[in-house]
Amino acid sequence: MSKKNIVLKSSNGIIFEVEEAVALQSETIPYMIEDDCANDTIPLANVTGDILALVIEYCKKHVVVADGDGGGSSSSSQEDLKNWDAQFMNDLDQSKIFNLLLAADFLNIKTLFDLTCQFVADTMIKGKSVEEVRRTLNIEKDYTSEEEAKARQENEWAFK
Amino acid sequence: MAVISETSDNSNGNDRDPNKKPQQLRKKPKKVQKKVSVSLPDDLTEECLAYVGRCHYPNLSLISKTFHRLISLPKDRPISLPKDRPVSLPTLYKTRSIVGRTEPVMYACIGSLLFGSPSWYILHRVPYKNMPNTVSLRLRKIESLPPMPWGSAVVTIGYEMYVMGGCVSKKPTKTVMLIDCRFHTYSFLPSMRVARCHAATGVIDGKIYVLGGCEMRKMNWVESFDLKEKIWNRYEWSPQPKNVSSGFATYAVMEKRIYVLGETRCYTYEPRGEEGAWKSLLPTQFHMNSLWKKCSCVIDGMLFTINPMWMHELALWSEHPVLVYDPRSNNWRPLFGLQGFPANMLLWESTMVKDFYEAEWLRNCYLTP
Repeated sequence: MSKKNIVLKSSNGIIFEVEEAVALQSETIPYMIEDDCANDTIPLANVTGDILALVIEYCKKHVVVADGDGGGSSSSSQEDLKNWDAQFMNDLDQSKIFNLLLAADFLNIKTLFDLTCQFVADTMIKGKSVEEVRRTLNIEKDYTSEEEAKARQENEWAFK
Repeated sequence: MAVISETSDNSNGNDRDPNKKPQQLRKKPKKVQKKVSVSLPDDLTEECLAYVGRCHYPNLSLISKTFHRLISLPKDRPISLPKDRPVSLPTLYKTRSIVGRTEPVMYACIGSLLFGSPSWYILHRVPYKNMPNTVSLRLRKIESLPPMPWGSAVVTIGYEMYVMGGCVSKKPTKTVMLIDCRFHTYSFLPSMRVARCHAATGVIDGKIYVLGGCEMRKMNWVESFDLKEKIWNRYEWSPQPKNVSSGFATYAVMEKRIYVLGETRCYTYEPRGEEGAWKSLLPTQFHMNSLWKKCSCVIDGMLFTINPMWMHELALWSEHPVLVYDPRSNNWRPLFGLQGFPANMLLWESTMVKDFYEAEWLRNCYLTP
Protein backbone atom coordinates (compact mmCIF):
# COMPACT_ATOMS: atom_id res chain seq x y z
CA MET A 1 0.00 0.00 0.00
CA SER A 2 1.51 3.29 -1.04
CA LYS A 3 1.48 5.92 1.63
CA LYS A 4 -0.16 9.16 0.71
CA ASN A 5 0.88 12.34 2.40
CA ILE A 6 -1.28 15.31 3.23
CA VAL A 7 0.02 18.83 3.65
CA LEU A 8 -1.52 21.00 6.36
CA LYS A 9 -0.90 24.70 6.75
CA SER A 10 -1.44 26.45 10.08
CA SER A 11 -2.95 29.90 10.46
CA ASN A 12 0.51 31.42 10.84
CA GLY A 13 1.72 29.73 7.68
CA ILE A 14 3.64 26.77 9.09
CA ILE A 15 3.55 23.73 6.82
CA PHE A 16 3.19 20.17 8.13
CA GLU A 17 3.36 17.12 5.92
CA VAL A 18 1.73 14.08 7.50
CA GLU A 19 0.61 10.63 6.43
CA GLU A 20 -2.98 10.42 5.33
CA ALA A 21 -3.90 8.06 8.19
CA VAL A 22 -2.63 10.62 10.68
CA ALA A 23 -4.59 13.49 9.17
CA LEU A 24 -7.78 11.50 8.67
CA GLN A 25 -8.33 11.12 12.38
CA SER A 26 -9.84 14.53 11.93
CA GLU A 27 -13.36 14.30 10.57
CA THR A 28 -13.10 17.85 9.25
CA ILE A 29 -10.09 17.33 6.97
CA PRO A 30 -11.85 14.92 4.55
CA TYR A 31 -14.44 17.63 3.85
CA MET A 32 -11.63 20.08 3.15
CA ILE A 33 -9.90 17.65 0.81
CA GLU A 34 -13.14 17.22 -1.15
CA ASP A 35 -13.79 20.92 -1.27
CA ASP A 36 -10.32 21.80 -2.32
CA CYS A 37 -8.98 18.87 -4.32
CA ALA A 38 -7.06 21.00 -6.81
CA ASN A 39 -4.74 22.30 -4.16
CA ASP A 40 -2.56 19.89 -2.22
CA THR A 41 -2.17 22.12 0.83
CA ILE A 42 -5.02 22.30 3.31
CA PRO A 43 -5.17 25.62 5.11
CA LEU A 44 -6.31 25.49 8.73
CA ALA A 45 -7.20 29.09 9.46
CA ASN A 46 -8.20 28.45 13.07
CA VAL A 47 -5.17 26.53 14.27
CA THR A 48 -1.76 28.02 15.00
CA GLY A 49 1.46 26.15 14.29
CA ASP A 50 2.33 25.24 17.88
CA ILE A 51 -1.15 23.82 18.48
CA LEU A 52 -1.20 22.01 15.14
CA ALA A 53 2.13 20.43 16.08
CA LEU A 54 0.51 19.09 19.27
CA VAL A 55 -2.50 17.81 17.37
CA ILE A 56 -0.23 16.01 14.93
CA GLU A 57 1.85 14.56 17.77
CA TYR A 58 -1.33 13.19 19.29
CA CYS A 59 -2.66 11.83 15.99
CA LYS A 60 0.67 10.17 15.16
CA LYS A 61 0.66 8.41 18.52
CA HIS A 62 -2.89 7.24 18.02
CA VAL A 63 -2.71 6.22 14.38
CA VAL A 64 -1.15 2.81 15.03
CA VAL A 65 -3.81 1.70 17.42
CA ALA A 66 -6.63 2.89 15.22
CA ASP A 67 -5.01 1.08 12.31
CA GLY A 68 -3.61 -2.13 13.79
CA ASP A 69 -5.41 -5.42 13.12
CA GLY A 70 -8.88 -3.97 13.07
CA GLY A 71 -8.54 -2.43 16.50
CA GLY A 72 -7.34 -5.63 18.11
CA SER A 73 -4.46 -4.00 19.91
CA SER A 74 -3.31 -5.63 23.09
CA SER A 75 -4.44 -4.30 26.44
CA SER A 76 -0.90 -3.36 27.44
CA SER A 77 -0.55 -1.03 24.48
CA GLN A 78 -3.93 0.46 25.39
CA GLU A 79 -2.58 1.02 28.86
CA ASP A 80 0.61 2.59 27.45
CA LEU A 81 -1.48 4.88 25.30
CA LYS A 82 -3.49 5.98 28.30
CA ASN A 83 -0.34 6.82 30.19
CA TRP A 84 1.00 8.64 27.18
CA ASP A 85 -2.23 10.66 26.93
CA ALA A 86 -2.01 11.61 30.60
CA GLN A 87 1.61 12.71 30.24
CA PHE A 88 0.81 14.58 27.02
CA MET A 89 -1.90 16.61 28.74
CA ASN A 90 0.09 17.17 31.91
CA ASP A 91 2.93 18.79 30.01
CA LEU A 92 0.68 21.51 28.60
CA ASP A 93 -0.03 24.88 30.11
CA GLN A 94 -3.56 26.13 30.38
CA SER A 95 -3.54 28.34 27.31
CA LYS A 96 -2.32 25.38 25.21
CA ILE A 97 -5.00 23.16 26.68
CA PHE A 98 -7.77 25.59 25.78
CA ASN A 99 -6.39 26.09 22.29
CA LEU A 100 -6.02 22.34 21.88
CA LEU A 101 -9.67 21.94 22.87
CA LEU A 102 -10.70 24.56 20.31
CA ALA A 103 -8.57 22.82 17.66
CA ALA A 104 -9.91 19.36 18.49
CA ASP A 105 -13.42 20.76 18.23
CA PHE A 106 -12.74 22.50 14.92
CA LEU A 107 -10.89 19.51 13.42
CA ASN A 108 -13.44 17.15 14.97
CA ILE A 109 -11.01 14.64 16.44
CA LYS A 110 -13.29 12.85 18.84
CA THR A 111 -10.79 11.08 21.07
CA LEU A 112 -8.62 14.19 21.49
CA PHE A 113 -11.69 16.30 22.15
CA ASP A 114 -12.93 13.89 24.82
CA LEU A 115 -9.48 13.65 26.37
CA THR A 116 -9.16 17.42 26.61
CA CYS A 117 -12.68 17.93 27.99
CA GLN A 118 -12.03 15.26 30.60
CA PHE A 119 -8.74 16.89 31.52
CA VAL A 120 -10.31 20.32 31.91
CA ALA A 121 -13.12 18.79 33.98
CA ASP A 122 -10.74 16.87 36.24
CA THR A 123 -8.07 19.49 36.78
CA MET A 124 -9.88 22.80 36.56
CA ILE A 125 -13.49 22.22 37.60
CA LYS A 126 -14.02 19.17 39.83
CA GLY A 127 -13.59 19.72 43.54
CA LYS A 128 -12.62 23.38 43.12
CA SER A 129 -14.17 26.26 44.96
CA VAL A 130 -16.21 28.84 43.07
CA GLU A 131 -13.36 31.36 43.26
CA GLU A 132 -10.79 28.83 42.08
CA VAL A 133 -12.84 27.92 39.01
CA ARG A 134 -13.38 31.60 38.21
CA ARG A 135 -9.67 32.22 38.43
CA THR A 136 -8.61 29.16 36.42
CA LEU A 137 -11.16 29.51 33.66
CA ASN A 138 -10.74 33.27 33.46
CA ILE A 139 -14.35 34.01 34.34
CA GLU A 140 -15.55 37.25 35.83
CA LYS A 141 -18.04 37.20 38.67
CA ASP A 142 -21.15 38.78 37.18
CA TYR A 143 -23.55 37.98 40.01
CA THR A 144 -24.73 40.55 42.50
CA SER A 145 -24.77 39.07 46.00
CA GLU A 146 -28.57 38.95 45.78
CA GLU A 147 -28.45 36.97 42.56
CA GLU A 148 -25.86 34.64 44.00
CA ALA A 149 -28.00 34.04 47.07
CA LYS A 150 -30.92 33.24 44.80
CA ALA A 151 -28.89 30.78 42.75
CA ARG A 152 -27.74 29.19 45.98
CA GLN A 153 -31.31 28.88 47.16
CA GLU A 154 -32.30 26.92 44.05
CA ASN A 155 -30.10 24.06 45.18
CA GLU A 156 -30.50 24.61 48.88
CA TRP A 157 -30.17 20.89 49.59
CA ALA A 158 -26.61 20.89 48.36
CA PHE A 159 -25.37 23.64 50.64
CA LYS A 160 -26.76 22.53 54.00
CA MET B 1 -41.78 4.21 55.14
CA ALA B 2 -38.91 4.29 52.74
CA VAL B 3 -39.17 4.18 48.99
CA ILE B 4 -36.02 4.26 46.96
CA SER B 5 -35.87 5.45 43.39
CA GLU B 6 -32.98 5.82 41.11
CA THR B 7 -32.89 8.10 38.18
CA SER B 8 -30.29 8.55 35.55
CA ASP B 9 -30.04 11.29 33.06
CA ASN B 10 -29.62 9.16 30.00
CA SER B 11 -32.58 8.17 27.87
CA ASN B 12 -35.67 10.19 28.36
CA GLY B 13 -37.22 8.69 25.27
CA ASN B 14 -38.53 12.00 24.03
CA ASP B 15 -35.43 13.75 22.97
CA ARG B 16 -33.01 11.06 22.07
CA ASP B 17 -32.96 8.23 19.61
CA PRO B 18 -31.36 5.26 21.37
CA ASN B 19 -30.36 3.75 18.01
CA LYS B 20 -28.11 6.62 17.16
CA LYS B 21 -24.50 6.12 17.98
CA PRO B 22 -22.72 8.84 19.92
CA GLN B 23 -20.55 9.81 16.97
CA GLN B 24 -23.63 10.29 14.76
CA LEU B 25 -24.91 12.77 17.26
CA ARG B 26 -21.71 14.74 17.42
CA LYS B 27 -21.93 18.07 15.86
CA LYS B 28 -20.68 18.81 12.40
CA PRO B 29 -17.49 20.74 11.88
CA LYS B 30 -17.98 24.40 12.44
CA LYS B 31 -16.16 27.65 12.58
CA VAL B 32 -14.49 28.62 15.83
CA GLN B 33 -14.03 32.23 16.69
CA LYS B 34 -10.49 33.21 17.34
CA LYS B 35 -10.06 34.16 20.96
CA VAL B 36 -7.60 36.73 22.11
CA SER B 37 -7.73 35.98 25.83
CA VAL B 38 -7.73 32.42 27.04
CA SER B 39 -11.28 31.48 27.83
CA LEU B 40 -13.65 28.92 26.44
CA PRO B 41 -16.73 29.58 24.33
CA ASP B 42 -19.98 28.53 26.00
CA ASP B 43 -20.51 25.40 23.95
CA LEU B 44 -17.09 24.06 24.93
CA THR B 45 -17.65 25.02 28.55
CA GLU B 46 -20.82 22.95 28.35
CA GLU B 47 -18.89 20.00 26.89
CA CYS B 48 -16.39 20.18 29.76
CA LEU B 49 -19.20 20.42 32.31
CA ALA B 50 -20.67 17.24 30.87
CA TYR B 51 -17.54 15.45 32.08
CA VAL B 52 -18.08 16.65 35.64
CA GLY B 53 -20.21 14.65 38.08
CA ARG B 54 -23.69 16.01 38.76
CA CYS B 55 -22.90 16.45 42.43
CA HIS B 56 -20.66 19.38 41.47
CA TYR B 57 -23.38 21.25 39.59
CA PRO B 58 -25.03 23.15 42.48
CA ASN B 59 -21.68 24.72 43.32
CA LEU B 60 -20.75 25.35 39.68
CA SER B 61 -24.02 27.17 39.02
CA LEU B 62 -22.71 29.89 41.36
CA ILE B 63 -19.69 30.70 39.21
CA SER B 64 -21.33 33.04 36.73
CA LYS B 65 -24.57 33.72 34.94
CA THR B 66 -23.30 31.71 31.99
CA PHE B 67 -22.62 28.68 34.17
CA HIS B 68 -26.04 29.08 35.72
CA ARG B 69 -27.68 29.21 32.30
CA LEU B 70 -25.79 26.08 31.20
CA ILE B 71 -26.73 24.09 34.31
CA SER B 72 -30.00 25.34 35.76
CA LEU B 73 -33.47 26.30 34.68
CA PRO B 74 -33.97 29.90 33.61
CA LYS B 75 -34.54 32.10 36.64
CA ASP B 76 -37.87 33.35 37.90
CA ARG B 77 -39.76 30.35 36.76
CA PRO B 78 -42.36 28.65 38.89
CA ILE B 79 -41.21 25.40 40.42
CA SER B 80 -44.30 23.61 39.10
CA LEU B 81 -44.14 23.48 35.33
CA PRO B 82 -47.06 23.13 32.99
CA LYS B 83 -46.04 20.17 30.87
CA ASP B 84 -47.66 21.40 27.67
CA ARG B 85 -45.77 24.69 27.52
CA PRO B 86 -42.38 24.15 25.99
CA VAL B 87 -39.54 25.98 27.68
CA SER B 88 -35.92 26.22 26.74
CA LEU B 89 -34.02 23.86 28.99
CA PRO B 90 -30.26 23.56 29.29
CA THR B 91 -28.84 21.16 26.70
CA LEU B 92 -26.15 20.02 29.13
CA TYR B 93 -28.08 16.93 30.15
CA LYS B 94 -28.49 15.87 26.55
CA THR B 95 -24.77 16.43 26.01
CA ARG B 96 -24.05 14.21 29.01
CA SER B 97 -25.94 11.35 27.45
CA ILE B 98 -24.29 11.91 24.05
CA VAL B 99 -20.81 11.67 25.55
CA GLY B 100 -21.86 8.73 27.69
CA ARG B 101 -21.42 10.57 30.97
CA THR B 102 -24.75 9.83 32.59
CA GLU B 103 -24.71 8.75 36.19
CA PRO B 104 -27.32 7.42 38.57
CA VAL B 105 -28.56 9.56 41.40
CA MET B 106 -30.42 7.97 44.27
CA TYR B 107 -33.62 9.43 45.64
CA ALA B 108 -35.45 8.19 48.69
CA CYS B 109 -38.98 9.02 49.72
CA ILE B 110 -38.93 8.94 53.50
CA GLY B 111 -41.59 9.69 56.04
CA SER B 112 -42.66 8.83 59.52
CA LEU B 113 -46.17 8.68 60.91
CA LEU B 114 -44.99 10.95 63.70
CA PHE B 115 -43.63 13.67 61.45
CA GLY B 116 -46.11 13.81 58.59
CA SER B 117 -46.11 12.89 54.93
CA PRO B 118 -43.05 11.43 53.24
CA SER B 119 -40.68 13.75 51.38
CA TRP B 120 -38.03 13.23 48.74
CA TYR B 121 -34.40 13.10 49.76
CA ILE B 122 -31.39 12.95 47.50
CA LEU B 123 -28.28 10.96 48.28
CA HIS B 124 -25.89 13.82 47.68
CA ARG B 125 -22.33 12.94 46.88
CA VAL B 126 -20.60 15.84 48.58
CA PRO B 127 -17.34 16.56 46.77
CA TYR B 128 -14.21 16.95 48.84
CA LYS B 129 -12.34 20.12 48.16
CA ASN B 130 -9.34 19.56 45.91
CA MET B 131 -9.89 15.82 45.84
CA PRO B 132 -11.74 15.52 42.54
CA ASN B 133 -12.73 11.89 42.85
CA THR B 134 -13.60 11.68 46.53
CA VAL B 135 -17.10 12.21 47.82
CA SER B 136 -18.93 11.71 51.06
CA LEU B 137 -22.55 10.62 51.05
CA ARG B 138 -25.26 12.71 52.65
CA LEU B 139 -29.01 12.31 52.52
CA ARG B 140 -30.52 15.75 51.95
CA LYS B 141 -34.16 16.75 51.89
CA ILE B 142 -35.37 18.46 48.72
CA GLU B 143 -37.54 21.32 49.88
CA SER B 144 -38.72 22.33 46.41
CA LEU B 145 -40.78 19.14 46.03
CA PRO B 146 -44.10 18.83 47.86
CA PRO B 147 -44.82 16.11 50.44
CA MET B 148 -45.78 12.79 48.82
CA PRO B 149 -48.81 10.62 49.53
CA TRP B 150 -48.18 7.45 51.56
CA GLY B 151 -47.98 4.25 49.55
CA SER B 152 -47.47 5.78 46.09
CA ALA B 153 -46.32 3.55 43.24
CA VAL B 154 -43.11 4.91 41.69
CA VAL B 155 -41.28 4.25 38.44
CA THR B 156 -38.26 6.05 37.05
CA ILE B 157 -37.61 6.62 33.36
CA GLY B 158 -34.36 8.41 32.60
CA TYR B 159 -34.26 11.47 34.84
CA GLU B 160 -38.00 11.46 35.46
CA MET B 161 -39.91 9.89 38.33
CA TYR B 162 -43.59 9.05 38.04
CA VAL B 163 -45.34 9.04 41.39
CA MET B 164 -48.77 7.43 41.12
CA GLY B 165 -51.58 7.34 43.64
CA GLY B 166 -51.03 6.74 47.31
CA CYS B 167 -53.05 7.85 50.32
CA VAL B 168 -53.68 11.39 51.44
CA SER B 169 -55.40 11.60 54.85
CA LYS B 170 -56.02 7.84 54.62
CA LYS B 171 -57.90 8.29 51.34
CA PRO B 172 -56.49 6.78 48.13
CA THR B 173 -55.79 9.25 45.33
CA LYS B 174 -55.74 9.10 41.52
CA THR B 175 -53.10 11.80 41.22
CA VAL B 176 -50.02 11.25 39.06
CA MET B 177 -47.02 13.48 39.58
CA LEU B 178 -44.01 13.75 37.29
CA ILE B 179 -40.76 14.82 38.93
CA ASP B 180 -37.86 16.13 36.87
CA CYS B 181 -34.78 15.09 38.82
CA ARG B 182 -32.43 17.41 36.92
CA PHE B 183 -34.00 20.53 38.33
CA HIS B 184 -36.22 19.12 41.11
CA THR B 185 -39.37 20.48 39.54
CA TYR B 186 -42.68 18.68 39.24
CA SER B 187 -45.84 18.70 37.17
CA PHE B 188 -49.09 16.79 37.15
CA LEU B 189 -50.02 14.23 34.52
CA PRO B 190 -53.54 13.00 33.67
CA SER B 191 -54.91 11.19 36.71
CA MET B 192 -55.49 7.47 36.79
CA ARG B 193 -59.06 6.27 36.36
CA VAL B 194 -58.99 4.66 39.78
CA ALA B 195 -57.64 5.87 43.11
CA ARG B 196 -54.96 3.49 44.34
CA CYS B 197 -52.74 3.00 47.34
CA HIS B 198 -49.91 0.42 47.56
CA ALA B 199 -50.38 -0.50 43.90
CA ALA B 200 -47.75 -2.40 41.92
CA THR B 201 -46.20 -0.84 38.84
CA GLY B 202 -43.62 -1.35 36.13
CA VAL B 203 -42.56 -0.04 32.71
CA ILE B 204 -42.80 -2.44 29.80
CA ASP B 205 -42.59 -1.50 26.10
CA GLY B 206 -43.24 2.21 26.50
CA LYS B 207 -46.14 1.83 28.90
CA ILE B 208 -46.40 2.19 32.64
CA TYR B 209 -48.64 -0.52 34.07
CA VAL B 210 -50.34 0.01 37.39
CA LEU B 211 -52.00 -2.91 39.13
CA GLY B 212 -54.21 -3.17 42.18
CA GLY B 213 -54.03 -0.98 45.21
CA CYS B 214 -57.81 -0.72 44.95
CA GLU B 215 -60.89 -2.90 45.23
CA MET B 216 -61.18 -5.52 42.53
CA ARG B 217 -63.43 -4.30 39.78
CA LYS B 218 -63.16 -5.97 36.47
CA MET B 219 -62.34 -3.13 34.12
CA ASN B 220 -60.13 -0.92 36.19
CA TRP B 221 -57.92 -3.16 38.23
CA VAL B 222 -55.10 -2.77 35.71
CA GLU B 223 -54.40 0.50 33.93
CA SER B 224 -51.59 1.49 31.63
CA PHE B 225 -50.18 4.88 30.82
CA ASP B 226 -48.96 5.33 27.26
CA LEU B 227 -45.77 7.38 27.57
CA LYS B 228 -46.04 8.70 24.02
CA GLU B 229 -49.74 9.51 23.90
CA LYS B 230 -49.87 10.52 27.55
CA ILE B 231 -53.16 8.79 28.15
CA TRP B 232 -54.41 6.09 30.50
CA ASN B 233 -55.88 2.89 29.05
CA ARG B 234 -57.93 0.25 30.79
CA TYR B 235 -56.96 -3.35 30.43
CA GLU B 236 -58.77 -6.60 30.72
CA TRP B 237 -57.08 -9.73 31.85
CA SER B 238 -57.69 -13.39 32.07
CA PRO B 239 -58.15 -15.34 34.15
CA GLN B 240 -59.61 -12.80 36.49
CA PRO B 241 -57.65 -12.68 39.75
CA LYS B 242 -59.42 -13.75 42.89
CA ASN B 243 -58.71 -13.05 46.52
CA VAL B 244 -55.79 -10.78 45.82
CA SER B 245 -54.87 -8.41 48.60
CA SER B 246 -55.75 -4.82 47.77
CA GLY B 247 -52.23 -3.56 48.42
CA PHE B 248 -48.78 -4.97 47.68
CA ALA B 249 -45.50 -4.99 49.56
CA THR B 250 -43.24 -4.50 46.57
CA TYR B 251 -42.86 -5.18 42.86
CA ALA B 252 -40.18 -5.76 40.25
CA VAL B 253 -39.98 -6.03 36.46
CA MET B 254 -38.05 -8.96 34.98
CA GLU B 255 -38.33 -10.55 31.55
CA LYS B 256 -41.15 -8.20 30.56
CA ARG B 257 -43.23 -9.37 33.50
CA ILE B 258 -44.23 -7.51 36.61
CA TYR B 259 -43.54 -9.61 39.70
CA VAL B 260 -45.72 -8.60 42.60
CA LEU B 261 -45.16 -9.46 46.25
CA GLY B 262 -48.51 -9.50 48.01
CA GLU B 263 -49.27 -9.94 51.67
CA THR B 264 -49.18 -13.69 51.54
CA ARG B 265 -48.52 -14.67 47.96
CA CYS B 266 -46.55 -13.68 44.87
CA TYR B 267 -47.95 -12.97 41.44
CA THR B 268 -46.78 -12.15 37.97
CA TYR B 269 -48.47 -9.95 35.41
CA GLU B 270 -47.59 -10.22 31.77
CA PRO B 271 -49.06 -7.60 29.41
CA ARG B 272 -50.29 -9.07 26.15
CA GLY B 273 -51.79 -6.59 23.72
CA GLU B 274 -55.27 -5.63 24.84
CA GLU B 275 -55.17 -7.94 27.79
CA GLY B 276 -52.67 -9.42 30.13
CA ALA B 277 -52.11 -12.59 32.06
CA TRP B 278 -52.19 -12.46 35.84
CA LYS B 279 -50.73 -15.48 37.50
CA SER B 280 -50.49 -16.45 41.09
CA LEU B 281 -47.26 -18.23 41.95
CA LEU B 282 -47.88 -21.22 44.16
CA PRO B 283 -46.18 -21.09 47.55
CA THR B 284 -43.68 -23.73 46.46
CA GLN B 285 -43.15 -22.35 42.99
CA PHE B 286 -39.59 -21.00 42.74
CA HIS B 287 -39.76 -20.47 46.56
CA MET B 288 -40.74 -16.95 45.64
CA ASN B 289 -43.10 -16.45 48.56
CA SER B 290 -40.63 -17.47 51.21
CA LEU B 291 -37.46 -15.87 49.85
CA TRP B 292 -38.48 -12.60 48.20
CA LYS B 293 -38.52 -9.77 50.72
CA LYS B 294 -39.43 -6.14 50.42
CA CYS B 295 -35.79 -5.22 50.77
CA SER B 296 -34.81 -6.13 47.21
CA CYS B 297 -33.93 -4.75 43.81
CA VAL B 298 -33.38 -5.86 40.22
CA ILE B 299 -29.86 -5.79 38.76
CA ASP B 300 -29.13 -7.07 35.26
CA GLY B 301 -32.54 -8.73 35.05
CA MET B 302 -32.10 -10.65 38.31
CA LEU B 303 -33.76 -10.12 41.66
CA PHE B 304 -31.42 -9.44 44.59
CA THR B 305 -33.08 -9.78 47.96
CA ILE B 306 -32.14 -9.86 51.62
CA ASN B 307 -31.83 -13.46 52.78
CA PRO B 308 -34.63 -14.07 55.28
CA MET B 309 -32.58 -16.94 56.73
CA TRP B 310 -29.44 -14.92 57.20
CA MET B 311 -27.70 -15.80 60.46
CA HIS B 312 -30.41 -18.34 61.32
CA GLU B 313 -28.60 -21.31 62.67
CA LEU B 314 -28.76 -24.48 60.60
CA ALA B 315 -30.67 -22.82 57.78
CA LEU B 316 -29.44 -23.29 54.24
CA TRP B 317 -27.31 -20.37 53.00
CA SER B 318 -27.52 -18.80 56.45
CA GLU B 319 -24.06 -17.24 56.09
CA HIS B 320 -25.07 -15.26 52.98
CA PRO B 321 -26.94 -11.99 53.55
CA VAL B 322 -28.10 -11.59 49.95
CA LEU B 323 -29.86 -14.06 47.66
CA VAL B 324 -30.27 -13.81 43.89
CA TYR B 325 -33.16 -15.06 41.78
CA ASP B 326 -32.66 -15.56 38.06
CA PRO B 327 -36.05 -15.56 36.28
CA ARG B 328 -34.60 -17.22 33.18
CA SER B 329 -33.58 -20.37 35.02
CA ASN B 330 -36.04 -20.00 37.92
CA ASN B 331 -33.15 -20.53 40.28
CA TRP B 332 -32.14 -19.02 43.58
CA ARG B 333 -28.55 -18.80 44.70
CA PRO B 334 -26.64 -16.93 47.38
CA LEU B 335 -24.53 -13.93 46.38
CA PHE B 336 -20.99 -15.15 46.90
CA GLY B 337 -17.97 -13.06 47.75
CA LEU B 338 -19.88 -10.45 49.68
CA GLN B 339 -17.89 -9.05 52.57
CA GLY B 340 -18.47 -6.42 55.21
CA PHE B 341 -22.24 -6.53 55.12
CA PRO B 342 -23.45 -4.58 58.16
CA ALA B 343 -24.90 -6.92 60.77
CA ASN B 344 -26.93 -4.32 62.62
CA MET B 345 -29.37 -3.53 59.83
CA LEU B 346 -33.08 -3.62 60.37
CA LEU B 347 -33.63 -5.90 57.41
CA TRP B 348 -37.35 -5.57 57.18
CA GLU B 349 -37.26 -1.81 57.28
CA SER B 350 -34.50 -1.28 54.78
CA THR B 351 -34.47 -0.90 51.06
CA MET B 352 -31.96 -2.12 48.55
CA VAL B 353 -30.94 -0.21 45.46
CA LYS B 354 -28.78 -0.89 42.54
CA ASP B 355 -25.71 1.26 42.24
CA PHE B 356 -24.16 1.61 38.84
CA TYR B 357 -20.86 2.95 40.10
CA GLU B 358 -19.60 -0.50 40.92
CA ALA B 359 -21.27 -2.04 37.96
CA GLU B 360 -21.17 -5.65 38.98
CA TRP B 361 -22.14 -5.26 42.57
CA LEU B 362 -24.68 -3.44 44.58
CA ARG B 363 -24.19 -1.01 47.36
CA ASN B 364 -27.09 -0.78 49.72
CA CYS B 365 -29.08 2.03 51.03
CA TYR B 366 -30.30 1.50 54.54
CA LEU B 367 -33.26 3.54 55.47
CA THR B 368 -35.34 3.23 58.52
CA PRO B 369 -38.27 5.37 59.54
